[in-house]
Amino acid sequence: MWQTIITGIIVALALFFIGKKVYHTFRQAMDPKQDISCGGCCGNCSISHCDSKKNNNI
Amino acid sequence: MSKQSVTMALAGNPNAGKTTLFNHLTGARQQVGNYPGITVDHKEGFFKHAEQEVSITDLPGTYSLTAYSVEEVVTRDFLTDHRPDVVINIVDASNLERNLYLTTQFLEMGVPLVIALNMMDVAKDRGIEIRVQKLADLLDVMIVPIIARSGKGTDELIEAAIKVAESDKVWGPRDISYGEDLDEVLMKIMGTINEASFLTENYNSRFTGIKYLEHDDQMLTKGQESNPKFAKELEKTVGVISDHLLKTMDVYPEAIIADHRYGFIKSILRQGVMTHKFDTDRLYTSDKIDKVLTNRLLGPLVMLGILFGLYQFTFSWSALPVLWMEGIFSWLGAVVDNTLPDGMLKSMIISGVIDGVGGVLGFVPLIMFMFFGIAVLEDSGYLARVAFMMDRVFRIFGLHGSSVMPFIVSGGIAGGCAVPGVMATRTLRSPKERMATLLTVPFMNCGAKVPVLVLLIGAFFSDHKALYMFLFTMLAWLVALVAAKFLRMTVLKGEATPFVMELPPYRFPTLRGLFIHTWERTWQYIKKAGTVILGISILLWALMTFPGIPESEQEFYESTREKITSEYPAEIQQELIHISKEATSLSPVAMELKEKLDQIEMNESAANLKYSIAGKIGSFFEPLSKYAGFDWKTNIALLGGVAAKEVIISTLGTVYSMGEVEVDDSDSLGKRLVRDPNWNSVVAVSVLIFIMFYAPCFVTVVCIAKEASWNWAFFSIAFNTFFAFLASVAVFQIGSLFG
Repeated sequence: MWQTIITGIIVALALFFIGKKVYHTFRQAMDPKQDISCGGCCGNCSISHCDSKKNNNI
Repeated sequence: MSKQSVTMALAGNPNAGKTTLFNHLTGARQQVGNYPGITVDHKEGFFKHAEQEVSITDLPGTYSLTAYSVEEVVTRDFLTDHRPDVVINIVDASNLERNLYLTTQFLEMGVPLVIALNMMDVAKDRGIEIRVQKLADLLDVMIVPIIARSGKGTDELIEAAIKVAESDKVWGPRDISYGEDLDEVLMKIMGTINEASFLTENYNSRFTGIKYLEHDDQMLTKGQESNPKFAKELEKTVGVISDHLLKTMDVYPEAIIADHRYGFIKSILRQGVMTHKFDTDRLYTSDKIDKVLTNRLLGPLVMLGILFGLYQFTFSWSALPVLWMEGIFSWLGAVVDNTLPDGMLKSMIISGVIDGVGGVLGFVPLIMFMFFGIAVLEDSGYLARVAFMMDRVFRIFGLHGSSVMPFIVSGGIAGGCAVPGVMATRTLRSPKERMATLLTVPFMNCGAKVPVLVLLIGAFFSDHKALYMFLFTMLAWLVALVAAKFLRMTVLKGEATPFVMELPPYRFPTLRGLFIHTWERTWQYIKKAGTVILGISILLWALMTFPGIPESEQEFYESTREKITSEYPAEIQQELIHISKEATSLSPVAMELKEKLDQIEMNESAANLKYSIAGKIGSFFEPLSKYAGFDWKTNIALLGGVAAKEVIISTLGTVYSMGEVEVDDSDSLGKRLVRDPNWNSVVAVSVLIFIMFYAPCFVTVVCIAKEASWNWAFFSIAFNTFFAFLASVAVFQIGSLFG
């Protein structure tokens, strides 16, 4: 039973995380001032408003 | 009194060393070099000098401040909108005349300026001697010689920049004569601009006047937005002088302005500022290397050789570390299996997380070696030569030279990303060429597709891994170019536009730079696997687990198990209960019972998977996908891959893990695939081709929608998937015929 509860919580968290990511991407798409974040940042791109870049303090 | 914080902007020509200096000053992680597409927007970094906080912005490389390209607009807008305390104009000492063209425009703009005279070592090697103080006096600007790569002179540069930032000097526009006709008109225009306070909040009247004479589109728009009536009058005045010049001299004002700027520069340089020790026509080392590496015949051969060598290096050096990683995840699975009691959490951790995400992380060493090789090519300047050579090919397929970099950024050599690739198409001015590039860059083998390719190539073509990787890379390019040609001949018909590209000199990559670039990209791969891929893997595990098999079928498996067990004596059953994990120490009869029970459990797991939501979706597509050789399990992975291509691996890992019983003796995913009767080398090629060319990942689709429109985004999904499926069907059907 405890395994089911923990699994349920983890799946819910994953759903929330991915849902947030999808929502965030769509919001970026609707905002003309924002660029899309690819999620991974090698710095090798033109995305100035990318979250990954902000997180990397670039 | 000294300021507590200073804002600086770093500006200069492409390849003048801006990014290198920026990295040196801030320690920020950026790419070395500047080619179309790399730096379209500005980047900010921070550092402390003495007690002062310095914020520095790396502006895109640009040759002028006239709004011909996105880079030029970004640079100019930043200077007027953000008004940094000082602009550091980085100038390539080995190309002084051309670099000073931008400097003259900063002077015209009247921004506080310091010149960083970079690549003094290269200039010296080329026999160029520059009298720095004389040049500084003539330009009336502080100049600090530096070598950005080694950091030499950068402390002095920052001190000079801070001095300028803190000085009370009023930086007015520099009066450069543009000839009698234009000077007269310019004076007149400046007067009226000042009277009407037209755009004066951001630009000095001389600068506005020059930009109007240059027919700077962005400035004209700004003028119309600010004061339409005055803007119209100004355009009329400029129109008159343009017509006059065209009639009398057959030239436009912008050409005269450019000529006089170069005249201004020449007049300075000829005052003993610069002397050449050698014959200026002599071939420099870079040019000598280029004679071979960009040769029409030899160049492409060398390029293909380097590409093949890169894959050979990657596969051979990473083979052992990849095995270690597989061992680690296998061991981890066994630990969890032995520690946790059977249940949902255990299934999720083993099948969803360890076998799913572990499959993606298992390729970290390989990715690292590949990124290292690519970093060598990038930092040495060779990648620019690839772009240069590909330009000739691109024109044949109706694409522009500026399309090459988006293709490379998207994974042309493997390991890029289509999102920045799509963004990089902004450098293309022709909308149709841009659209054709934007729609075909997702065909490249991005960093997410690489592990999938490696997995399948490693599993089914293990004797010639590098060769197959090379062939699949070539195939990606070929398909992308043919698709572009098709688009340019149908929905995106139009003329090709010319392209000029500057080749930066070859440089020895620094070990530090190589390690930074390699680690950074590898870390992003790990981070993505640990966040997005992990989340998706868990969700897909849930989709592959629920709702599970119906009770009646569950009872059937249970009764079969009981029936088989009851056929064996009680002591054998007890032996199995007591030493359930130590299979090797079982008696032959107990072993036989165990194998039978394992088979039932495997069938039950497979049935459970097939009854799950994901299983039903996968099975739904099977009647169609079987023509390409994909079974329902592969379909689940391919659907998951729409979220992100790495998910294909994690999903396959989970799918095949959920059918397994014992984890501690389980094989790697590649071996599991080889063992599956539904898979063979023809299916592997068919799947690989589908993965390479089907719908771009979700983020890329959204990016295409943003850069073009939702219609084009949907077109991209439909066009790519349809094409990929047709190609896979053709490969599978023809391949099956030949056995």
